[in-house]
Amino acid sequence: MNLTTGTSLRTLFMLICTLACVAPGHSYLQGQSTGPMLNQAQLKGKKIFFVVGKSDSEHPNDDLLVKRHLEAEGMMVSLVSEDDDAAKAKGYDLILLSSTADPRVLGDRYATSAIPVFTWNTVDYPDMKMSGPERHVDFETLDPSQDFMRAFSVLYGYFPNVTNPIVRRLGIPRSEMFGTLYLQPQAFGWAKPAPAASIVVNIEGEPTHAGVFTYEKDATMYGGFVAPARRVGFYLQDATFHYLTAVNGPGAKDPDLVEWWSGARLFDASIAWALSAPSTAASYDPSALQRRLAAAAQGKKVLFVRRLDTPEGEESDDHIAAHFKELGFIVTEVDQSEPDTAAAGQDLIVISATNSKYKMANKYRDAKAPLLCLEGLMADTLKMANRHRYVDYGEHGEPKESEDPPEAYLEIVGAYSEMAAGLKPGYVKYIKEPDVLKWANPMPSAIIVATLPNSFHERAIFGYEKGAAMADEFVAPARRMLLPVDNPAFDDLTEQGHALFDAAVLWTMSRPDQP
Amino acid sequence: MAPIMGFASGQGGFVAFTLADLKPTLVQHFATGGVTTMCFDDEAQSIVAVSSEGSVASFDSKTGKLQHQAKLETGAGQIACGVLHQVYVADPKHNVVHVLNHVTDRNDGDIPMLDGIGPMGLALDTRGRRLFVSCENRVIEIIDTDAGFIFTQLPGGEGRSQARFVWTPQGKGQWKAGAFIAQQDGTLIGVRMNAFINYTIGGDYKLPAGLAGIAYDSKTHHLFLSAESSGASSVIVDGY
Repeated sequence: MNLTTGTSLRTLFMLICTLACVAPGHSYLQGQSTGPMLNQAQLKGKKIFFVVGKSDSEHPNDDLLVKRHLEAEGMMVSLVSEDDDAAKAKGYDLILLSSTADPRVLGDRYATSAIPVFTWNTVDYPDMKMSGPERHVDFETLDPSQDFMRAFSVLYGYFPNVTNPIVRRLGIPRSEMFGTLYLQPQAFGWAKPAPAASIVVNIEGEPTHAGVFTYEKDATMYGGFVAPARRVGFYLQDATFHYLTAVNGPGAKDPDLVEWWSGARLFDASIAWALSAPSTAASYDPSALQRRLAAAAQGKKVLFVRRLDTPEGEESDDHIAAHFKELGFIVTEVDQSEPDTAAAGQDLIVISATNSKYKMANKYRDAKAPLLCLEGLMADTLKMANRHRYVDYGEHGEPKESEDPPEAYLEIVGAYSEMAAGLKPGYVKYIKEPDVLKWANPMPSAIIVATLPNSFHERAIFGYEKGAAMADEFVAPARRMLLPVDNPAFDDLTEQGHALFDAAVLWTMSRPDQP
Repeated sequence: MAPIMGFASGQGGFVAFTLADLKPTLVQHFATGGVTTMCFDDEAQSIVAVSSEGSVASFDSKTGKLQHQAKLETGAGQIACGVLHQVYVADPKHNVVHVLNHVTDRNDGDIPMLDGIGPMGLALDTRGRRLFVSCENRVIEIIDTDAGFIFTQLPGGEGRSQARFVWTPQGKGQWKAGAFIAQQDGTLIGVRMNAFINYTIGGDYKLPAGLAGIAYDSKTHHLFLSAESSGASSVIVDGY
């Protein structure tokens, strides 16, 4: 592994990826600001506050190697003690927390820091609000002497989401496995992050066992804690940095091997992401949001798939169609029974909750146009979630079909996303009276915006970026989004609910965030 | 029956000769000068010669005839023949080991050092998977050649060096394999293979300074070291 600046191939690779990442971007219509990730040149001069434990000759660690590596990349690194005051970090660009620092001493002293934090102190994740509190359930550290067999299994990581900016920088073309650390039993840390986190790497075939994960600024972490700045958790332990995979020599000319041995580049890309400007959504302003949506809708064709001539929910669907027309969309309404060739030439597909999942079959799954689904029970047919009803998807408030009571509120957890309509993190009254609300538990590549209150795993609003791996590794042909608007809830949406509806439409139809 | 060939290299040149009468059959002057070293590519049955100033040539080991010759960036360190027609060349100037291909006459890639500075000695296991690099700054790098990845670093001696890899150096039942490194400051080190991914220092001897070449006799289990102490050349025979 080369941890110096001497590898021209690696530099070239990073340059190519960087150029790709800063290519002309997405159209968020001023609704969201997502700056590109910093490139290698832009990292020079960044000030790093590196919190380490006391050195111990009997237990060598890689802290100095990490320092040297970052300095070779042009950053300025200050080593500080685990018991130093967090206020000393003022003026720095990034805080690094090594696993050598005593997590009981660290506690939560950096949890509220407005400076980005990159940590591989797994046991400190709970105090940082990055994971739940229980070892072996919410997080885990693996040690080769204690967990010999699993210390091999963690050598194989998985990139579940190639649309993640960190994974994009690595040039990973599809969800696939890779080598995390060199081929020896290794110490490792993982955690099960909160719904709003992005899982960059998972391990051992467990989708939520994250070896690398991130929280965007304003994302909801554990216990309703809102990320004051970007946060990154990484699988390193005390002396494993020098085992981060890399390829040199003849193997570096083989793209498959470059993708496979990408641990060191993953570390660098994660550092770059942590140091880059956070993504921020426009403030809550329903009128401004509707104006942006109307501007985007002009001349655009929306296919509204509904159950025509039905006694249930027809008025609500009529109002949805009328809303689209008012916004400026060219609206085509088709019955659920019609073939999905109706989607040809459309800019957006919206599937009403009046449709019967049983009658809809697998229609529109493969549609090239972006798709917004208002019916949570179709999460599996549309590849948004797995197929275990009431486990992978379900509903609140449906008599005889749900053990959960009717609900009127959602909890916003992805406030940073344009999909959240600028609403603050926390509870938001979504419909005027408690009623049926659907949910699903999507794959790790989904962007989670809202959950049902007190139902951590029941995600109500989420979206898949174009190219993201959905259920069964189905690659999203275009953006896909779920927003629960059960019939006849459209007419029952609160002001905030309407804003979420408009934000969902705008996000789904906007140009994908792709290089 | 074809004569058995012998080979020698010097400053920017290579000589093939018949062993029976030491009669030269080929004298090849390279386009570039510098110390020229050679190794045997068992797979290709070729002798590969590399001059430190940038020539790579291969010769048929049976006939001594030139097969390929090219100008490539090389280095002043030791060389080692690998598999797939690759030859590893230690280049202290650029702090890398070059992987050159003596059939395609191209550089297949470079392997940078980690903490080592000035790679000089090279030893490659006969399967071509583990490369031992002794550097001038007391660091021994052990490389997984499939990935070009340094997975172990061990303390070494100082100055230029040469290395040899040997399977079961003491015979059966002891070391699986070892890499022996003779270093200019007089350090003789045996790197012990405990497992294919696990290596430790198996022995460390301090001999007179000026160690240079190193060879191993598999029948007697002896290492032969050439030394340059006090200006006079000598050979040390050291049972291991």
